[in-house]
Amino acid sequence: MDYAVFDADYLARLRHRDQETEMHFTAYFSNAIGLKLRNRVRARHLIDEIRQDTFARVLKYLQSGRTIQYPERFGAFVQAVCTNVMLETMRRESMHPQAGEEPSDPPDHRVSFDVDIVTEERKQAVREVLADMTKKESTLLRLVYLEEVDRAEICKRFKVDHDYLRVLIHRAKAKFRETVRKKDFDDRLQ
Amino acid sequence: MTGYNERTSWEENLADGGLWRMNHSEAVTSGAVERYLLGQLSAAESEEFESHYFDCLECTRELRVAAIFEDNIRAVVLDERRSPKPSIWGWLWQRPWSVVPAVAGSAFAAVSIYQGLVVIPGLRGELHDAVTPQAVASYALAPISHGDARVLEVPKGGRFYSIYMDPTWTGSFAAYVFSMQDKAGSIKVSVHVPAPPPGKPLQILMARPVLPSGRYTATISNAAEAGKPEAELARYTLVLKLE
Repeated sequence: MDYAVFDADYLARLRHRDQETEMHFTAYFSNAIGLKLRNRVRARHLIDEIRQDTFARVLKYLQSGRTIQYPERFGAFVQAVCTNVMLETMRRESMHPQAGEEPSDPPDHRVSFDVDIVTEERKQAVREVLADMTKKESTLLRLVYLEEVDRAEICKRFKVDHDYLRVLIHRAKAKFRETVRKKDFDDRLQ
Repeated sequence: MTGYNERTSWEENLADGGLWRMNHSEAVTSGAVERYLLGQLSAAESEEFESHYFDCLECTRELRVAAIFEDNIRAVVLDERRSPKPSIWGWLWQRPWSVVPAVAGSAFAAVSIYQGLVVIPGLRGELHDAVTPQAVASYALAPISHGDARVLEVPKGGRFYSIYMDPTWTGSFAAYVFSMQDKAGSIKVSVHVPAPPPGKPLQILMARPVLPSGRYTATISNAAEAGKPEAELARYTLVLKLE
């Protein structure tokens, strides 16, 4: 799954239900949709539902013979379909709560939207990245990822602006990728 | 391009690429990946970026790495909160047995260091001082009946001084016991001394640190032997002044 350059031929193969293309389509957009929904939808089953519904609608649209004027923007089309499905799903969930069931807090599946996204090796790489930082930087980064701490308040307390946070995370991410690469255990980050 | 109002569904509008899109260069220069994850983009900007990265393999990869990093650092922070790193004292408190070898090792090391740096050099110095020829002040004691207390002024730097007593008592014995008591009557020194040659005084060599300055009573008794129980033979009063 190395290409994301969509064209008319790709869409034609999807329209004709080419199995390999369909596999690429679902794999590539599963990842993209997961990244989109991870901070918006908490319930894992709703993420799966939105993902499946998006795939179904896109394929149905193509297989009905309708066209996409700019095939190279197929990803944006899928994204827009996904947004609509997401909004519809969330609206339906809020208007029709499950009858007869006790309301409960939805489980937080963001840490595992991908089954094995959190691993001991990756956590160790994160610890190494944090250990390489200054005390201020590592404290900041830890606070940023504590949900109950307001990021504006963090910036105020540490006398930094949002750009500082962005650059800090950018550097940490690059260092994380480099650490993982050196350890050679995670080719999915390459 | 056909206008939006003539379309029958939103899908067809999207299919015409009707949305303005962020390009890759804009995404990189604006730090869109990090801003997106930090929630620093407006709803419209988020939508633009999403429309871009769904088509951009590079941005999707960057976003994925950032998301993986975010989820793992969050897990690390949660781990730290669940089991905060204990202080060394807390750690020892939870594992008291672990302190035994550490303390033993530390004590051994401390003793070794103390011996190496203090005791052994000190002993060497004392040994050196002891074997170096030196003058020793000598003081003769006279029995109490002979007058007031004898003042022994030990000069500064004198590590030893000698006390000698002429045998004024009757009888001869194989050995004697020399004792010194302080004003409170507490015995501070008690030594077993062989009898000196006939006509020679009984001599005691004292090390300076043994007794502090003060008033003392010295006594000579015979060491008990068969048929001769211990008995006081002479008593002296002295004032020791260590200069």
